[in-house]
Amino acid sequence: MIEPTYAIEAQEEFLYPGHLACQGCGSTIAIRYVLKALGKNTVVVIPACCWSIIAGLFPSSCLGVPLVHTAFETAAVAATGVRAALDIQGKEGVNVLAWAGDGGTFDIGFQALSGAAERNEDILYCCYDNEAYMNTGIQRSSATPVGAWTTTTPKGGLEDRPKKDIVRIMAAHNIPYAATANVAFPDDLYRKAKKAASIKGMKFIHILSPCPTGWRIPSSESVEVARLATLSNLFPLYEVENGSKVIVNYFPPKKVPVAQYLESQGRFHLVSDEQKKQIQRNVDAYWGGLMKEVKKK
Amino acid sequence: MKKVLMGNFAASHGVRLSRAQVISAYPITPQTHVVEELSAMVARGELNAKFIKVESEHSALACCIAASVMGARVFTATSSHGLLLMHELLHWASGGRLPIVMVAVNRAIAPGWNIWNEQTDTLSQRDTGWIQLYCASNQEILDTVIQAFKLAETVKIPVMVIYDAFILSHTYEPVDIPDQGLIDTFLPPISNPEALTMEKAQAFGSVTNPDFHMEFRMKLHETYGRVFEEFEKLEEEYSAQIGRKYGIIEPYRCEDADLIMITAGSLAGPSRMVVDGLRKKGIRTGRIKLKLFRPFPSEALREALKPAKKILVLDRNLSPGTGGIFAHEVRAALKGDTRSIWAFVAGLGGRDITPDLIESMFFDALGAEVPISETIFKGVRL
Amino acid sequence: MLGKLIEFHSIGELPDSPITQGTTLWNPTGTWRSVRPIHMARLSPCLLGCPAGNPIETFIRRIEEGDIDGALAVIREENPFPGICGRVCFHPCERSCNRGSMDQPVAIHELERWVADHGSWRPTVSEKDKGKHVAIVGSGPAGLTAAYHLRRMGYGVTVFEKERELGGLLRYGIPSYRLPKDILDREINILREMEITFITGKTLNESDLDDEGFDAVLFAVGAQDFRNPRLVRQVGEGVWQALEFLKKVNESGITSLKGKVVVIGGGNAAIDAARCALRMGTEVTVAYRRMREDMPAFDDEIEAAVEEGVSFTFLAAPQVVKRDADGKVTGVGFTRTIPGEIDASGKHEVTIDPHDTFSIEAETVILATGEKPADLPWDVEPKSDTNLCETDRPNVFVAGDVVGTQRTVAYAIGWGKRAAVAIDSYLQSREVDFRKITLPGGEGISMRAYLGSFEIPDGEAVPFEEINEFYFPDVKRTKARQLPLKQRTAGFAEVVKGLSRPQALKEASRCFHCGDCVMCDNCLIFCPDVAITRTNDKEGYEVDLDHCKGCGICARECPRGAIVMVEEKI
Repeated sequence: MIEPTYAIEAQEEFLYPGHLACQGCGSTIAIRYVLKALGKNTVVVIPACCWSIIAGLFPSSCLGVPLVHTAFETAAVAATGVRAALDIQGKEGVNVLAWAGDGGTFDIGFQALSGAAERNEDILYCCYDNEAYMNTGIQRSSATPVGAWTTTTPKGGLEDRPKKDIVRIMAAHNIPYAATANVAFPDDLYRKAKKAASIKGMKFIHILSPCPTGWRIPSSESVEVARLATLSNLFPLYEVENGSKVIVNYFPPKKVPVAQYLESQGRFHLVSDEQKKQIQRNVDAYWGGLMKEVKKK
Repeated sequence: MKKVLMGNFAASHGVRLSRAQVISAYPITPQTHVVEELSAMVARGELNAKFIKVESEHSALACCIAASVMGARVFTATSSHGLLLMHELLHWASGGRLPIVMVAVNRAIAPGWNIWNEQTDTLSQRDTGWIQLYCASNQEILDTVIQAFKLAETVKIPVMVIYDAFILSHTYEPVDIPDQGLIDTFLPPISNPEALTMEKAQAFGSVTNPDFHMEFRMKLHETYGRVFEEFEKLEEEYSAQIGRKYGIIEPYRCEDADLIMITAGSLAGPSRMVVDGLRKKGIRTGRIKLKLFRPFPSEALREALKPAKKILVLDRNLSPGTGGIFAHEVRAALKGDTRSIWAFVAGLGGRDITPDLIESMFFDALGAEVPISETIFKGVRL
Repeated sequence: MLGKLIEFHSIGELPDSPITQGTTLWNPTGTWRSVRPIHMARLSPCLLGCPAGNPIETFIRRIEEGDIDGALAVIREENPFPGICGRVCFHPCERSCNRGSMDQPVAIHELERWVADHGSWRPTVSEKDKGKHVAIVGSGPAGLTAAYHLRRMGYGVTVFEKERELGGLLRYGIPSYRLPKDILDREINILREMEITFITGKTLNESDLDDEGFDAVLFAVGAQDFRNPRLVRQVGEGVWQALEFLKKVNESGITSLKGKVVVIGGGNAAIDAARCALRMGTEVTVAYRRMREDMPAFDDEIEAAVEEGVSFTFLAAPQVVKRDADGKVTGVGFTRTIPGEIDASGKHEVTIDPHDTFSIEAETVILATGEKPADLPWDVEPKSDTNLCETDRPNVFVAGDVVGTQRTVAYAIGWGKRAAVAIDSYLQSREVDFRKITLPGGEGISMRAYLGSFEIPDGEAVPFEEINEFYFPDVKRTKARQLPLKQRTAGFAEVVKGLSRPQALKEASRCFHCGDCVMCDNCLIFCPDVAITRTNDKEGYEVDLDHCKGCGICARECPRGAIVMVEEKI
């Protein structure tokens, strides 16, 4: 038998076509599989981000589950409010999903996120990370990687600060579950969302989500570029349980140089060879660190 | 049951009796006791609610908004900087037509740091679409909190219950705490037909482009028109059950007054004393306590002011460059009126407003045909 | 499918708060696109690489689906002899195979053999008897293939073979250790089941054509005549023409040789002769006038010969067969040749160096310097400018080595198919639309296309650049088991044992299925607009054109180039 490539059991769709995402948007693929894993009994909370628009203009919604739009800084705490209301109304078995971009997670929404994590609120917080403030026209965020062009890190001053390690920061709150995921590995994302839904307490999934518009790639290459990030170890797939137990989920079968990932995108076109070598060293060091962690279980 | 309570605790009891379901608040002097007491009530099992110890006021209101969208009865409390931090979300709550009740304790705004009574914080939020009710006693606080939930849920507009820092918040007065059964009859469980349910896949707060945004705001604006009658109705109901009524304004000895002073909050008490004192001296004075500020009770005010020859407004707040905010609103309500209005600003940053000071304001008005300036600062020290 | 946009006609119809009332399905985001995806069956390069027109990707897919009999059935719609090809073909398909650009090509050759050896299949003949009869002269692969296809079409077929047994070079040229005689018989017997008449030991006379009621005749008489006029004079005691030698061996007429053997030549006949000689207990040297890389013999065969211990000497031009006083062969005298540039045939030019001479000792010399086609009987002249095997006589056709320049079994089978098409079109007075049946760029035609059960996809074969390597794990090509080296030359038992079942399944899984959608769901899974769904019967995909934005992710993530992005017409 020739089997489908990706084993994803749930068939029902909770994302409807007609949404307003750009062609090739990674975040729509991401939410599709998270919602499949969570199912119909889910309330989604979305702060200001691309998804405020993608979700559709009044009077239409592109999701098959209830959705609360909330202010920019507040995804995590609005999700908290939703959970509190559901609990006090005795509505059990409902998933609460905060669905935020990198701006609303790493930067302006960070306080609320940290607060919710510290309180161990029973929510799943997913950050679909397109590595800049894309909704407002591609300005840098603290999730923008070294070497990337954005409108606020332009030709003369490419991003030079390393990306915040958001998963480690969340793990440092000792929440039950933190993980990375990648739209190019939908079965892994699906499994992680399902696993998260079975855990009570705060869950955080950091999803690499390419933006063809901001990354300067053809819309058709969205998934491929995301894949290269993981194949080159720049974006490893791993989980952290209860703040300290690290599980690496994917070991690339052969080493792909980071340069291949960088050269696939227009936003990195000004990165020098020297910088590429440094980025490779950084990637190797981080991956090496992860390997040490999983061996010292 | 009568208890001697500080204003903050009166608020807590009001919330308890209203069976709020989700409470989310961040401490700030002088509000802290409200939430501490509520937290204790929840811990003691006296109140079945979710108490979220959020990490800022902005988060507190965001939490309440989301919980209210999901159909829960929610409450928060704050003051001064906390209220200002919530500013973005105040608009969200009213535009979202959410029946949220908030206690706001009037405290001055920094810099420099000043924790004492001033009304500028809530008044500077007057355009955010919240109903504003000012209280003059701890009893009124408890009653108003309960009425606020009913009003909010009837018209689907959030309600701010406001009282003075320290003068009311921390001062103990005897307060009658009504029976839970009576309150349950007055205020049944919340039922918001537009709350999100798991049965329908609806989105709250999507993009409303120019094709829709205006009508939504118009609807809110038009609903404001119903507030006067709804508040009157529920006051009647409350009065019938519990025996107390306050009215959207409280005129005192205005029917034959030559000079009428308008003020709000705890100043209602001393200003009434001064009116009585001046009456004894043969000066026909009256005062109007403003309870409802938003929507502004223009009609009721104009009616109550009819006898006056001169009008005084006592603001414990300041809109820099414009003057006292109550005065500003009164002037707008009285447009076309030829009578002189003395706009006094006093007590900023918690400076004491004594009965003598209030009396001097009346004498200022008595001693001239027109006020010496647009805004008259009283009790200036330096 | 578009939904309906909710509309409000008065402020009273609007909800109090901004709460949505419907879905985004009304929104025709399909208007955003400038290109659209089309699931399109495309040519796989293996299909183009096969001269016999084997449906390679299709039969491998059947194997993966667990349908071995189906695999065999689809092969036999084109090629009656997979059991033979899977043993003796030089598998040019594997050179075309895209998998070769990733690691090593799929072992198509071995898979074809495995299917033939393990599948069950019964031939079917068209129910409609065409009422005409065809004579086929020559029972080599070309003639037998033509017979097979013509009989399938419903014609009466009689095959004439001048030798005692059927098969032509399949029996008399190719030795048993490559193609066992029982396998050959197994393959040929399917034709007997189809009620094809075989007449051996007889030639067809011109008069028989009308007397016996043959409506057409096909000459597929091969190319077995010795080509080199100078060397042919040397044939005699101890000096064999290669095909004669092989025929004797295959008839079991020679079982041993004494002394050393020299084989002159570089083609398959030379290698076959050398390996046979080796098995008959002698030392063998193959002498070729050009270089190793110029040898026309199949690489597999040369390597096998080397492994078995055949010696090779290159740049050696034979001059004279040396004999002793009794006329017994003692060896061959050679001059060295000097290699020059690569000529038009792709081989090194060589010039003889008359001063550099040497000899190789031998008691047997086998001349394998090339064959030429047999003379066609009845003065028949083949037409040179036709695809239809035509001659100067309308009901006489030619096919196979007798007219072709690529003389291999696979080409011969291709010829046989072409002849069947030619004869059918002649007998039905119907024109052949070659566009519809020719495999572009290749040599073969598709019988399925001719009979209407298959449409050759438009366009080029899927290039390797369109294969998404990520979806194909590293799996090394399987090597079929072989007899241990020592046992090989002990006799004529088959050297290659073929694949085991697990090996075959593993090897089949290496196939990319270029251009053939196998329902892997990648397009469905990665569509950001949920615009690709399975059709109701679950056999294919449909694209929701009302909503597809034309991003192209589906085409990019298709592992095998089965989706093409096509520009929207304005």
